[in-house]
Amino acid sequence: MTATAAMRRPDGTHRVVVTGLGAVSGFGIGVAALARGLFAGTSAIRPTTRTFDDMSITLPASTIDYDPFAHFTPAALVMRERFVQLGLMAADEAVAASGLSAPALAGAAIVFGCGGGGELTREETAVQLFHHRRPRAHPMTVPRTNHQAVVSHVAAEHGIGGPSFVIATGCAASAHAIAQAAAMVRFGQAPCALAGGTEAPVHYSVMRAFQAARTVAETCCRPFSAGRDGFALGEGSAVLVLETLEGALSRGATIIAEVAGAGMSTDPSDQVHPVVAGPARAIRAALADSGIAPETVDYINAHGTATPLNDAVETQAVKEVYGTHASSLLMSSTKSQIGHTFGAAGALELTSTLIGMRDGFAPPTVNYLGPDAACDLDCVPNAPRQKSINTAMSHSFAFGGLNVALAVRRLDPSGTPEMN
Amino acid sequence: MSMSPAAMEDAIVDCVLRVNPTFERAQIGPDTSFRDLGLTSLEVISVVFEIEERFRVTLVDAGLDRFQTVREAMTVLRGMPGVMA
Repeated sequence: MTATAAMRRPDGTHRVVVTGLGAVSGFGIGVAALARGLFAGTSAIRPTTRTFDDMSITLPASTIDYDPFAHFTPAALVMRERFVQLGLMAADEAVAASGLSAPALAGAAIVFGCGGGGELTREETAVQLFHHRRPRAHPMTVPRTNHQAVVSHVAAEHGIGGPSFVIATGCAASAHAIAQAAAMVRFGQAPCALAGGTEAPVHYSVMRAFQAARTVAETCCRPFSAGRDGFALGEGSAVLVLETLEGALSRGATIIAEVAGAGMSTDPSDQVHPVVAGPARAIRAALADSGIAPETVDYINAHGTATPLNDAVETQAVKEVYGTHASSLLMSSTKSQIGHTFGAAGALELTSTLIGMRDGFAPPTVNYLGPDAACDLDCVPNAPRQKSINTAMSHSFAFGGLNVALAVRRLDPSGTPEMN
Repeated sequence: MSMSPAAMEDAIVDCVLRVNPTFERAQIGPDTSFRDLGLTSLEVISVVFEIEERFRVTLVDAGLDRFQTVREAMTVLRGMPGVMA
């Protein structure tokens, strides 16, 4: 089904719901693997080594142990870099879970976030050109490294002919993608959408780059904790199937949650130094967009990178927006479990939020050693907590001062918001 | 070091298979046209790239990348000094 004039809602009054989820994370392939890992309160982060000649680097990272040949043909792999493979696996799962038919998907939008694209091929090309001093790059370099490869492969795989594009805003990319895809469904520009993100950054050169920026932890990621020293790298992908509430109800689909609103902002000040104002503006905008009263927010999946300054600034922003309610809500960081998956983080963390909402628990912040006065909210330390979550928020804040907050809420089978 | 014609043919077929592993080796004879095999234009120039890398020669810059079959590629390569095994 393609978007028709009759579907257009210039006032943006279509309500947008999630009817399918797909995920690939350090916990394994599939939403079930992610759910198990979140609930077990374990971490998928391990010391991870990448080498070039006799040089090597070891950093904490969350990677996915899978055999590409078990999932793709050798011919398909020629064109599919790892970030594309991860995106395809997550999209396959999300589409299957949604139950949307091929005709219903034909006019879907595909909006993905991706920070780096084909980092491995880019690295191999640098070796070819500068190390081996060869005169030519591999002719497949461009189609393999292009960020948009992921959406075009997903489109081809599922026969999707609607609008598709990639948003490359680093750590906020897939949160921006979900906000954009939800807006397209809301205004009737597409009947449904595959929204998510993918990233495969665990390569020698990328590890060196983040190590040089001094943002990577020594051994593990412990957000909001005393002694935190940065994030761990992570690879993964998550995809959400979004459609109108009307469409989902009419086909009897299982509604996981409503994407109730999104807020976005930019800090026009510093490229890397986080400040409170921008994140606070994004959170307020998401609350206003969704009509959710701040005091009803049960849970926040934080950006929570575990760098000393970021976590303190995020805590401050939440206190500024929520006031006294900040001490009642829960705010944890899934990055402690699956690493920082950059362009996939927003989608994986919203998926983690929805898993918690579905299964009745708040995902934990693991590796927590003890309180830090600058991060004095309840971060669900070290173990998941049983909790009925009706209303939640997911934060993504990128280098460059780009901030996104996504608001989700649980609906009853008739499409009415659940209340505590 | 020069190569036997059979070894050179095998090495060129390897280059085609690296670009598109869908094919069976038996499908690619010395006179099979790359286009007839169904290789896209990007795949054909990828075959040229693989041959340049395998034999450490420069074909594109010398305007020698016009071949369409394994046999034509062999003819080009055998005309080049220092083709390495």
